[in-house]
Amino acid sequence: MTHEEILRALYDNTLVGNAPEVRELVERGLEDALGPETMLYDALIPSLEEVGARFERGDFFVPEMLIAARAMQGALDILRPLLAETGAKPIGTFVMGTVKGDVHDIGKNLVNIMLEGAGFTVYDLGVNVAPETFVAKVTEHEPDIVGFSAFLTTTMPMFKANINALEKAGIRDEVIVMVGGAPVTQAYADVVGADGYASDASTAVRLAKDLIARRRAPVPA
Amino acid sequence: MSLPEALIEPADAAPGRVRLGFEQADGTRKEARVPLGTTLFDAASWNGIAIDSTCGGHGTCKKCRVRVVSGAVPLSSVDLRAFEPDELRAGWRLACRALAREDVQIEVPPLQTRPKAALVGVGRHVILRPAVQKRYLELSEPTLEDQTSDLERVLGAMDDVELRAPLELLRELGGTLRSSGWKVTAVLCDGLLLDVEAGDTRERRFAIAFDLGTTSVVANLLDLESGQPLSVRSMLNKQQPFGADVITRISALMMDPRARERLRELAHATLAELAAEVCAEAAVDAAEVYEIVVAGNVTMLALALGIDPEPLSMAPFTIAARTLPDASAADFGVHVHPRAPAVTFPALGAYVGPDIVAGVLASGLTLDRRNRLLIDVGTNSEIVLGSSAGALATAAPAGPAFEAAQIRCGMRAAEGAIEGVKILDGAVELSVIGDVPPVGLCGSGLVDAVAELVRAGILDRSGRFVDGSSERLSKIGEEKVFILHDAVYLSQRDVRELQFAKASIATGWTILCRELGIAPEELSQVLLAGSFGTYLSPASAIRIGLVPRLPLMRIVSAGNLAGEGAKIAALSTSERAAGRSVLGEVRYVELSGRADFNDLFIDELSFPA
Repeated sequence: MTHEEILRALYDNTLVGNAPEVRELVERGLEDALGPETMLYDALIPSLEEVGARFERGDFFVPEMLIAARAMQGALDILRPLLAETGAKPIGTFVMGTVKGDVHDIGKNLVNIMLEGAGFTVYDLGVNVAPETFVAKVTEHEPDIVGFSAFLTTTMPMFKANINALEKAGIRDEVIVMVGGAPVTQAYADVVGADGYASDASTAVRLAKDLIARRRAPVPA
Repeated sequence: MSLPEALIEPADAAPGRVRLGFEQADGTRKEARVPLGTTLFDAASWNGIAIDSTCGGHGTCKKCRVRVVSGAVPLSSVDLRAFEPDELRAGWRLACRALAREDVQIEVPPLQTRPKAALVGVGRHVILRPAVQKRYLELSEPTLEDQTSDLERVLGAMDDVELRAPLELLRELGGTLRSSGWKVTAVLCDGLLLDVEAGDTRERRFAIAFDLGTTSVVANLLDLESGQPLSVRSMLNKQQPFGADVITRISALMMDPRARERLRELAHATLAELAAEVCAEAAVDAAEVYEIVVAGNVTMLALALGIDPEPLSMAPFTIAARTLPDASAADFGVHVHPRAPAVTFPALGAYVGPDIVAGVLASGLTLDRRNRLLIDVGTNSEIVLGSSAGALATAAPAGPAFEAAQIRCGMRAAEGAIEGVKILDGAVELSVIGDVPPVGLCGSGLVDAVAELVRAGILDRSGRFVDGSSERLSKIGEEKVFILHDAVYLSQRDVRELQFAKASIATGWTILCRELGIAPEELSQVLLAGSFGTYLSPASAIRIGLVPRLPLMRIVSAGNLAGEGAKIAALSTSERAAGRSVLGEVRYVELSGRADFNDLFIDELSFPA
C-alpha cells in the first residue's frame, strides 16, 4: 500500500466508522513511516469534516456520527501521544463535562471527538461534574472554552449554577461558556447567560472556532 | 394456562392482531383485540372476563369450556378428550388450549365452580387468600346480666384472631348491631376490623387493582370470592398536560411549586374516575371495595402521594423509600370503603420501580430456574433477567419512539393507526385499527414498518434508505421518506428514533446476559410486556434487534404485567409477601457510567444482519 492509498483508506473507513480497520491502517501507516500529523490532517480530520458536512445536509444522522467518531477515537488513542511529541499547536483548548446530577455522555463524547478531530485539545471531566470542579479545572487548564452538557430538563438548571460559580471565582470573563444537550435551546442558553449554544456536534465545532476567532480578533480602535 | 405458544408463526407470517367478541351468560358483550396466537383464556383474563378453571391451564381440569360461535379455532388434542364429537361440532373448545388465529366470537358460560384459585399473569396459578376476609356473626343481645361492650362482643366472637378497631368504626357500630338484630358480618383486613355490616354480606367483597402508568392508567375490579376480574377500564393519565414522560413532569414541578399539588390532584382524579367506572360497570357499591392495590413507577407513586420526586430526576437517583409506609385508598384519592388500605410494591431503584416488581411477581421470573427475560417496553424500558444463577434488573431509557411521540406521522394505538405493516414483492399491506383509512402510525406499526423495510432491502443495516430501492421512496422537504399510504409516511428521522430506542433496550439485555454469563441464545423465553411490548410482532422485534434472535415461540406477549401483579397481590397475601421478597431476589444493575455501555450501544444501533 502506498502512503496515498493508506490515507485514502483511512478517510473512507473513518467515514463509514469501520473502527478495527482504522486502527489497523494507523498502525500500518506508522510502520511505513507515515507521519502522525499527515494521517491526522490529510485523512482523519477531512473525513470527520465530511461526516459533519453530511450530517448538516441531513444525509448522516447521529448513529453514523457516533460510529464514525468511535473509529476516529481509536485512531486518536494511538496518535495522541505521538502528536504531543511533535508539539503540534492546537487551534484551541476546551474543558468539557456533563453537569452535576446528570450522567449522560454519549452526546458530549461525540462533541469531544469532533472537537479533537478539528484540532482542539479537549480536557474531558466526565459526567456528574460539580460546579467547583469546573472552576478548579478552568483555573488549572485556562481553556479558551468551557462546555456544559445536560440531557435532562431537570439538570439544565446546573448551567446557571456553574456560571454563578465561575463568576464567584472571578474567572467568568476569562473563558467562553458553551452549553448543549438534547433539551437545551438557544433561548435557554441566553437566559442562563451562556456565550454559545449548538444543537449538534458539527455545529458546535464550527461555533467554537467562531467564538475563539471573535475573541482573539483585535479590538477595533 | 399455556403461554401463548401460538406465536409459532413462520418468520414471514403477517404480524397481526385479531378481534375477539365475548358473549357472557348475563348477556353482556365485550370486544378485545389481542396479538395473533394469544389463548382465548388469556385474552379473556386480560379483559376482565371470568372463565372457569382449576388446573392452572394445563389442559387437565377441562373446566375452561367456551363455545366458538363464529370464526375458526383449531382443535387441540385435549379438546378431543374433553368434548363429545357433537359438542366439538357445535364449537366447544377449552379456552386455555384455544389459540386466536383469526377474528372469532365466543360464548362464555356462567361460572360453575367457586374457584379456590385464579389464573393471573403469565400462567400464574394463584391460590385465593385475599387479605380481605368476612365473617358472619350471630351475636347474643346484651342484657342487664351481660353488659359486655359492643366492640368486645364483636371481637369476642372472633377470639381466634387479634384485631385492631379504628375509632371511626365505633361511631356506627351500636346502630348497626341493633338495627340488624345482632346478625352482622365483620370485615377483616390484615389484623384490622375494617367494618361491621348489617346482615350476611359474605358473598360480596371486592378489591381494585390499579396500574398507575405514566401514559395510561388501568383499573381492574376483582371479586375476591371468585378471584375473577369483573370489570377493567383504562384511561390516559390526567397528568399528561404536564409532559409525556416522568422527567418532564418532575421538571414542571421544579419550575412551579404549585405543580406538585396539581399533579397529585390529577393522579387522584384519574384513579377516582376509573374506580367509579369499574364499580358502576359491575354494579358494585364503592363501599364494598375494601382494599386497593396500586402498582406504578416510582415517580407516579410519589406524585400521587405528594412525595417530592425531585431527587428521582437526577444522579445519584435516590428514592424516598424502597418500601412505602402503610397507605390508604384515601391517600390515593380513591373513594371506596373509607378505611380501605392501599397496598403498594417495593422499588428496586428509581427506574426499576414497584411496577417492575409487580411484573416480576406476575411473570414468576424468580420462581423457576429457566433463563427468562422480561422487557417492559416504554419511554423508560425496564429489563429483568431471571436464571438459576439469580436475577438482575435494569432500566434502559428508550425515548418516546414506541409511543410514537416524536415520529412524524406517529399516533397512539387508536382508530386509524397503522398497527401492522407487511411488504411483499414491493406491495405494501397495512393493517389499520378499526379498518378505516390510515391516519398515522402507532408503536407496533413503526416497528413492523422498519423491520419490513430492512427485510425488503429498502433500508440498509445502518438505517439509511437505499436510493432507488422502491417507488415509494420520496422526499418531503429535505428529508427522505417512505410513503405508507397517501399522507402517512415513515421518515428517515423516524427510523433513527427507533434505532436509538431499540439500541438502548438491546444494550440493556446484552449487559444483563453478560453479567450472568448467559448467551442470548440460551434464553428460553422473552416476555414482551406493557401496552407497547404486548402488541409488538415478535418477528419484527427480532428483525430490528429489539430482542435476541430466538425461535419465535420463545418470544411471548405478556400483557400488562404490572396490572397483573397488582391483581395477584389483591388475591393473595402470600403472593403479596412474595412480591416484597423480590427486593432481595433481584439485583439492580445501573447502566449509567458503565464503561461498556456506550460502545455496546453504538454496536446495537445497526440492524442485525
